[in-house]
Amino acid sequence: MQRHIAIVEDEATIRHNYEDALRRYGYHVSGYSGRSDALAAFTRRLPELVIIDVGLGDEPEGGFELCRELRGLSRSLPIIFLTARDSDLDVISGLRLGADDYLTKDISLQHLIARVVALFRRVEALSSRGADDQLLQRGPLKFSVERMEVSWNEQPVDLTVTEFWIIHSLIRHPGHVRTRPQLMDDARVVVDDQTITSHVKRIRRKFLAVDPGFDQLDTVYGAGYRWKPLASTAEVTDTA
Amino acid sequence: MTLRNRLLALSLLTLLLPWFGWKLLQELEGFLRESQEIALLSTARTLAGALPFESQSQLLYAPGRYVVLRGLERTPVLDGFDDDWPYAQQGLTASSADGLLHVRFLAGTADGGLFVLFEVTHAATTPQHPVKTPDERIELLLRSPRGLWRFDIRSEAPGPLQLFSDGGGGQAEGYWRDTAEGYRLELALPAVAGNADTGFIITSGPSQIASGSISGVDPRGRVEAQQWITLIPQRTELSAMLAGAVPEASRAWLVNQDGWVLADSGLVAERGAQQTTWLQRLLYRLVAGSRTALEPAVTNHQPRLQSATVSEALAGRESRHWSQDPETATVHNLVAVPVQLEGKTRGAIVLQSSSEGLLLATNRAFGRLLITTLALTFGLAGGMWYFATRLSRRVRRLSGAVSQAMQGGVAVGVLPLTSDRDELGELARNNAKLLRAVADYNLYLQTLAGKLSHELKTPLAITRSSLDNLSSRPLDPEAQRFLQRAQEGVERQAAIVRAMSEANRLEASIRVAEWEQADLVELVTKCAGGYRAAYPGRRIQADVSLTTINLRCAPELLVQALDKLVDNAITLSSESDEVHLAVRRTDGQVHLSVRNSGTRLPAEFQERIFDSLVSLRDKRGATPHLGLGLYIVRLVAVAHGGSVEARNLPQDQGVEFIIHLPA
Repeated sequence: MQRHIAIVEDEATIRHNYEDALRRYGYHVSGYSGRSDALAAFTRRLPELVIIDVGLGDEPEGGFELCRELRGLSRSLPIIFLTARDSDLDVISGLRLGADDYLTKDISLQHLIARVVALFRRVEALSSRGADDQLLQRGPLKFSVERMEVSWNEQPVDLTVTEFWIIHSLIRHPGHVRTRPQLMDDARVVVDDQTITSHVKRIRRKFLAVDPGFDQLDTVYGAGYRWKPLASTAEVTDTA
Repeated sequence: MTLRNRLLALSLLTLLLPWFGWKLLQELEGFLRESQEIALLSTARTLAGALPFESQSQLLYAPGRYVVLRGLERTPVLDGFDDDWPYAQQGLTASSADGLLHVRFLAGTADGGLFVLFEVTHAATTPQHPVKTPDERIELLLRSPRGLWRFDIRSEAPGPLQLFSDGGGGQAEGYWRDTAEGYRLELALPAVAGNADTGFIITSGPSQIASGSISGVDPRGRVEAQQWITLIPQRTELSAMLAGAVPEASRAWLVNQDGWVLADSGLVAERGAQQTTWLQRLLYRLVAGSRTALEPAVTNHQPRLQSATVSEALAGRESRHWSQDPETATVHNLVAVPVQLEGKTRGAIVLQSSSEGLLLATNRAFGRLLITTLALTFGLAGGMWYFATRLSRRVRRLSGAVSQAMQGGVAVGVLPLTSDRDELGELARNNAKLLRAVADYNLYLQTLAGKLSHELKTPLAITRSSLDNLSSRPLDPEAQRFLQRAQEGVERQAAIVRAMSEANRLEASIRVAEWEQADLVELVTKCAGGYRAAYPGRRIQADVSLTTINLRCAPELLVQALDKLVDNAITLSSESDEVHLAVRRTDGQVHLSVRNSGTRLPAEFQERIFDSLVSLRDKRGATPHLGLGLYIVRLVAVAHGGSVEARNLPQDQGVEFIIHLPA
């Protein structure tokens, strides 16, 4: 069954390009240029994934507004923000509104499709819980690649897709420093160092929220980040 | 010249005021003196034309040799000293033919008696070789209506003498006193009524002085002397007349052809100098100056007037003179008018006024004027100076604040004087406006890159997504090649746009940066380790001498700044050059520095190197470089309240970039 993706983007050329690319990949795509007609369509029938531009026509924050309204319609609908804006503040507000990912427009189409696929996979994983799964465990950290779920001390940590890939990149080789460009590649984002820094900061905060003693995510000045292995617990226990 | 000094100089122009006053007063003073002189002259002319007959005849029939009997105020004490004779040096003098013997002869009347004084000196006498002879002798003849008296006086012994005239009839008292060079004889004779003549022969050894060419003594009392010395009495009735005719505070004299005073209007009232203060005297001297030489003022009992003014009159011309006593500021006006009798100048009327009263009145007015104008001038100058000082201080404050604002040290809003109502306030307000416009413009320039990158992102996304779509289609190899080139171009364009917005993103991340207490020594050491890993093959040293430097900062931002500096140092230097990271602490400051050898900063870049979009690298690298790195370093430093500095190391050892942070 074809998955249905909605793109809300006021720039027609970009919208058409994205529509074409996603259609080529086999998705059913509907494009909307404004907040009102998108919302009208969504209230009739919800798509399975929504890509929203933050600035919509005359409304510079129209995307955020639409995201809020969509969340009112569905708690679980995957939402990706796609925008020319890239300040930390925008990223934070976008994610706080419940968006699942936040991509800047200089991302390539291949990357965009990869993110979309990843998001769908996650949704699938969530719905088909219990299927066999590649599970990574690093001490109190449990990491399900298929379901894109992360837990710490058996408590779930709610991560966005980008954050999930960053953690994945770090824990594959605990103790090894991953530079920011490496993390970018692994997370399949094309952003600058600063955005990686703020992503890592946010990940740390999320872990600290479930465990105030969390100290595994180490900053290596001048190089990048690494996952500090817990000395007491057993190393790498990959369970296939 | 500063503004206030200029104004001060300008205010000194008011000094012209007292100067004009001074000039005016000088004129006034001259005018007053002129009119006084004219009044005096007319009085003198009147007196000269209305002399009583006796005086006229006295002047007309002047004897060849005479002595004016001076009216002595005090009766001389018969003691052989001349100190009770006023003007003892002015007398009739005569010498012997061989020039060895001299005599000075004085005569005067006092208390109804006639007094004479002989001062006889030997020219060749020295204390070692006295020439005095034992037979010093004076023969004195006196002819008067009371008879002819002859006294023969010899120096038998010095001391008081009792003399009788030959043949009796006349008697006199005297005193003979030997002096170092001769002797002095003082005699008191009975008063002579009416006209009298005298003659004398003074003998000392071979020398002889005779008052006449020949004088003989007849034993029977008949005396023949070819040239008598006439004793001219001063005319008291004329003196009274003169006293009545002259104006107040003036004095008149009648002098004969030789300047001897024949009549004198009386005493000049002595005026005390205490009436005038030194300031008034000073001021008066300022006005009147000493434009004529001071002639000695005529004093009481002066027997003879010999000043230039009097001599002029005696030569037949009216003359006048004014002089000022420097001590008392008294102004003496002297006029002399010749007395013409039978077509010849026979004498002169001399008038002197001591005109303190009139001129001092001017003096006081002038004093007040001068003091007032001077006070006004200095008050004005002081006021101007104060005003100018305030003005220039305000201007300096404004210009200081403006230049500080230009350097970015002061917010434009806090410019001084903006609430003042005068022109300076307006200037300050306009300056504030200008600075605000400049600041806005600067802000616009600084954010231009960010805004531009934002605007460029959408068309870039269009191009890129189109190319991506195109690349997913089957293309012939040639189209594939072009597509690849287009994609490369777009990649580069995207990198440029990312770099342009980097500063903007950094500014945003500075706002949300986490501030914490961090150890900079640890940070620098760790960073150096990281850079060694990131740039394998390069020698990167951390120079830290202290064990710990704790500072409240945003370590993420500082690391980012260090990243940029190290990246810069690595790019600018060659493989073999070392890069040094250092942190050190001085008073109140922490200095983070990155030093590399092998390069120099172009001099023209040192100021602007930390501005946005200024690049040091002249060779085009593979990655685009827009020179935002150092701008970011500056943003980080400023966010910490610090500053950045780039300098060439001495002896061409390389370049050092320093971040100064307040501790």
